[in-house]
Amino acid sequence: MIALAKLRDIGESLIARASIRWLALLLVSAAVIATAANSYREIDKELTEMTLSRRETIAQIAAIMLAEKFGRVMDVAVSLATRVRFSELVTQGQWTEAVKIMKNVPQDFPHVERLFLTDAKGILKADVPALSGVRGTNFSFREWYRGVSWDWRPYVSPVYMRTAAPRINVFAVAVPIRNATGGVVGILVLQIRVQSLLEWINTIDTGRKGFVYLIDSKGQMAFHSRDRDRSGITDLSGTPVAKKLLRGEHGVETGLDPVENEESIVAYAPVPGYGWGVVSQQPLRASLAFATKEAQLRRLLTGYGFILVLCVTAIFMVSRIAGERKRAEDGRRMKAKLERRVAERTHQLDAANKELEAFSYSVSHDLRAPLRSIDGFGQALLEDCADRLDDQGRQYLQRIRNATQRMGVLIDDLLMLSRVTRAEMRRETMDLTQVAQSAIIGLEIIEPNRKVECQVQTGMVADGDPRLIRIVLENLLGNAWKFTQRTDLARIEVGSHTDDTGAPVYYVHDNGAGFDMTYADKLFGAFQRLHAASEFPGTGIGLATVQRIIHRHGGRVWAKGETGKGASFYFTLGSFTRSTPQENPA
Amino acid sequence: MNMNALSILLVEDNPDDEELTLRALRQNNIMNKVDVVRDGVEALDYLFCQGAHKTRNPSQKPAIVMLDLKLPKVDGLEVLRRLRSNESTRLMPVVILTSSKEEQDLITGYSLGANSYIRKPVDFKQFVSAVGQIGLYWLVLNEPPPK
Repeated sequence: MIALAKLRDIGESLIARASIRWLALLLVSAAVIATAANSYREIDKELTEMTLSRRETIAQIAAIMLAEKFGRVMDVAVSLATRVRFSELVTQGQWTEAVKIMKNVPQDFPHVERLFLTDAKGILKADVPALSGVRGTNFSFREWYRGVSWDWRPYVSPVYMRTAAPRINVFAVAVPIRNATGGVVGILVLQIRVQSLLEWINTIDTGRKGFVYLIDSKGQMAFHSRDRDRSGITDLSGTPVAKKLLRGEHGVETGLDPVENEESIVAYAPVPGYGWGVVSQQPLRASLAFATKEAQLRRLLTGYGFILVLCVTAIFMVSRIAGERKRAEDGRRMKAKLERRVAERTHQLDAANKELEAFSYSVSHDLRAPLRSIDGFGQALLEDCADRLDDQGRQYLQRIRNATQRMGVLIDDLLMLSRVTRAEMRRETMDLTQVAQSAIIGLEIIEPNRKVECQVQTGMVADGDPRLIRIVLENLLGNAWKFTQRTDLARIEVGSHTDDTGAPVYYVHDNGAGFDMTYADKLFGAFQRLHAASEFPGTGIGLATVQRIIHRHGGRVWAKGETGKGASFYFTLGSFTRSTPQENPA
Repeated sequence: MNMNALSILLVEDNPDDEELTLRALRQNNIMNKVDVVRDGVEALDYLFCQGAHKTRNPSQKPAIVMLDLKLPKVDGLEVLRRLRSNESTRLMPVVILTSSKEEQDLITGYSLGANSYIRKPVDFKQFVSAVGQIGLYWLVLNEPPPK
């Protein structure tokens, strides 16, 4: 149940963490997208306005220029028509004389194709350059005639194509010629080449694929900047733009251009005072500003997209880092917990050791005291009351004493075993040869009559606790000594060699009673004996003590033997043995 | 020097050990006077001639104190410490005679100024031999400190 609840907690916290991450993502994404959209709108609007106003400006400038041109041509015409001598000649009907005054005009005024004079009814009287067959022709059907005769004021006609060659588009500026009293006596008509007059339009930068065209006062297209050599006249009076221009309106709009058949920006401006108009047009897609706009917006969106990606990445990184930090924190907490537990265990172990110490003390003191009493009084009984005991009684008493003494040895061995477990380890480099030799001397002192050939390798050193290693060698040599007691030419050898890893392996070899390898695993257990006590006395604790000491050094101990052929005991002292003294921490 | 004029103080709470020690002394023909005290407090009373031993002559100092460590009331090591810190008993020969072979007891005993440390063997014959050697050494061979 607890595990389940914990699992649920973990799950919930995971979900909570995940949802916080998603929420943050959502918020940031929304903010970025909103900003992007707003910027997009703003820039779109600005660029659109810029493009439109640019187009409109072109139209308006062109319209003003055109008005200016018209004004000039008009001024020329009026100044010619109002020359005194000229008007006198016309008044007198001397057309040929009158036109002579004008004969240099087409050369002097480059836009003028030709000029001619008509009477007030529109009948051609004279022309420059003179064309054959036109004199006497009635031109009152011409637009210019109707225009000028309407109120007898100077008039700019719509565009028309010349009847005679070259059949180019022209328009007429018609100015009435008046006599001294102000009566109209004739009309001076200047035929103006559209193309020539409007050459300047080509100097206007109309932008990529942009163009300008003129609408005359009849709604016809008088000039097209992209197609200025064309002759012929297109009637556009039906188009909305022409209609607006004819009404004198100006403006700018986008829409489908039926001629070009694509979305275009169309700006239009009337030429004030002449009923003409200028149209400046550019395909929407070709518009530099629009193209720029799209590029700009693309850049903008790319930028914002980039920011969005960055934000998302940042959020993931932050959440990742936070997660990692949390894991590290968990790790730290776990470590602290473990350390606390280790400290607790160490404390408990210390307490247990203290208890064990107290127990051992009691054992060594209190358990041995009654043994001493039993042994002592047994002996006293033997000595004082020997005469009152028969042989059997004395034998029993002796057995009691033997058992008591054996118990004493057992207690001492057990104490030794517990002591090597508790003793503090102090590793140092020690002279193993010397320790082995002194242990052998000890054995020889106890049993000076034994003849054992002992061979100890010289110069053996080991890293270990000298007191504990001494106990190891004393036990192993004691065993070797003990188990060779029935061997003729008893031999004990102490030495060392290195194993595969280069670590030293120490050994004690004897040619004594040996043991059956089948029971090799029992050798190192406490109270385990492979020989009868009557054969070889012992408590069975010695090898257990040896093993414990070796294990405390982090080493390994093992034995090889064969019944009747001796035994070999090997031990190592852990990885510590390979370190050099310089590397050893103090 | 009359060896028999020298007395022995035996500090021993266990009556069996007391009996066996006295027996071992007898068997070694050590006929000196043996005073026995049975706990640490009594030992201190005896040594400083106070309490129950108020009437004892302070100049009669034992030639050797055979001191057990595990004693009721005040333990042997504490008795030794007080004995060594008192001017009149500072130099008195003390042989610790105990069951304990604990390293800590050995270190403390010697650092407090014990003259000898004997562990009572379980084998009575060995014990007799040990007591004999103690007697021979401290009562015969050893020159006691000047009074």
